[in-house]
Amino acid sequence: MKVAHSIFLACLFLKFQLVAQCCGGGAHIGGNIFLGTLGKGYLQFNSNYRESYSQGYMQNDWNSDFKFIKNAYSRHLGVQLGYGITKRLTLDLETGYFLNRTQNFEIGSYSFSHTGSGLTSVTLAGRFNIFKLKKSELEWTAGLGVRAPVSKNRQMKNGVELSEDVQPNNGSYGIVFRSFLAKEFDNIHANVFLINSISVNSTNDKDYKDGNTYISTLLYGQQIIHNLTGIIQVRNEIRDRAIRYGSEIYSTGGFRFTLVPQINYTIKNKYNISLIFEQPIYRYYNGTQLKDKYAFSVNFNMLLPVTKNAKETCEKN
Amino acid sequence: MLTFFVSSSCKKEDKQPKNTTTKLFTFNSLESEHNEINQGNVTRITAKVTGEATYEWTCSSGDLFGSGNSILFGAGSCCKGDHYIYCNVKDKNNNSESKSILIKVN
Repeated sequence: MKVAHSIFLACLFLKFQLVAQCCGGGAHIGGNIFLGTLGKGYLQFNSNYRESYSQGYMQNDWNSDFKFIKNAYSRHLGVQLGYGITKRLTLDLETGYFLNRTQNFEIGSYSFSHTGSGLTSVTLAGRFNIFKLKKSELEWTAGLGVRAPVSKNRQMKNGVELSEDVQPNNGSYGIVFRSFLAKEFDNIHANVFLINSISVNSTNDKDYKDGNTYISTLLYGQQIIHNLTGIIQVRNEIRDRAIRYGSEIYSTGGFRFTLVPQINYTIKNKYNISLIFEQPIYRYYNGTQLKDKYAFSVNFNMLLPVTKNAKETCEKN
Repeated sequence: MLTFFVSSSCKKEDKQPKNTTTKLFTFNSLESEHNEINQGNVTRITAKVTGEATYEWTCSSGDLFGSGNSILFGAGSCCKGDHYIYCNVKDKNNNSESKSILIKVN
């Protein structure tokens, strides 16, 4: 059960981990990973710090000698609040802040650097438990969320507008569909999770639309020692081409597989700290695009009973 | 008496506020070194302006580097096609004027 709890909490952070896009540089694709419901009257707080790094170019699935952006990196803080309205329904509020989104350019004899920072977007989401079969220890939860930009103002530096890739958000709205299927193997202290999400983006004021994103994630979690759980995740991410002025942009979108090992440490059965590393193992980019190299995250989570009933239930367990 | 009248009249005229709508610049042209560039390259774009002004640059897609009346426009792998670069020139009296230029990225 402890393993399930650890994976459950670790999964909460996936929505913050999966922020890199096929174009590189750590563009935020919004709440795209999803998990089961909280108990009624429970409040959940998640915070996350993530760094991602991109360097070099790829054309389809091989390295390209194209040169323009030398490297790109981002540092992002994410926060999520969840509250269990009923045993089967949970509401979530998520937002994030880019400490920086930086691109370093090397174009012939020129060297430049662009950096943007600021609030990303706010996502309001609900998740509903469709079934939970105690006998087969199988659970399925589905959900829906809407995303809105915090600001539609474009960031400028020294009178020059920054490009889409370093803006903290691109001013578009979005809808996120989520599905979370979990199977527990209590006899071997292990769990398997299958998580799917679809993120649909609107067209922004500059007539630009980010490609829709489809993510499937398979997780396996195993208790290592008391309070410490190891989790291995394989993630597939497919992104449609972006659209500008009604036409697809050729060198956008694609798909990739990412291996995500992580460890989770539980403190006093209440707090969780996770360390997560993301390593792409196969990428296929449409056209030529900046290559995502790796990302890592540190997550903190706490789950608190708020109502009297929830506190009583918590004490009994 | 006449002297006093003239003197008062002059003083009153001096106190009148200056015309704050006077345009302090002339935006002559917006010019680019190249009207076509390849992906991964840049071209210098210059706003030919006489007078005192500040500059704001935006573009439909791609990257802008630098500041002031002359900047570089560059296009990475994302940006094949036609792109407009806009320059908005403004003075301290809040007068502004914009011009745009089309750059084709191959």
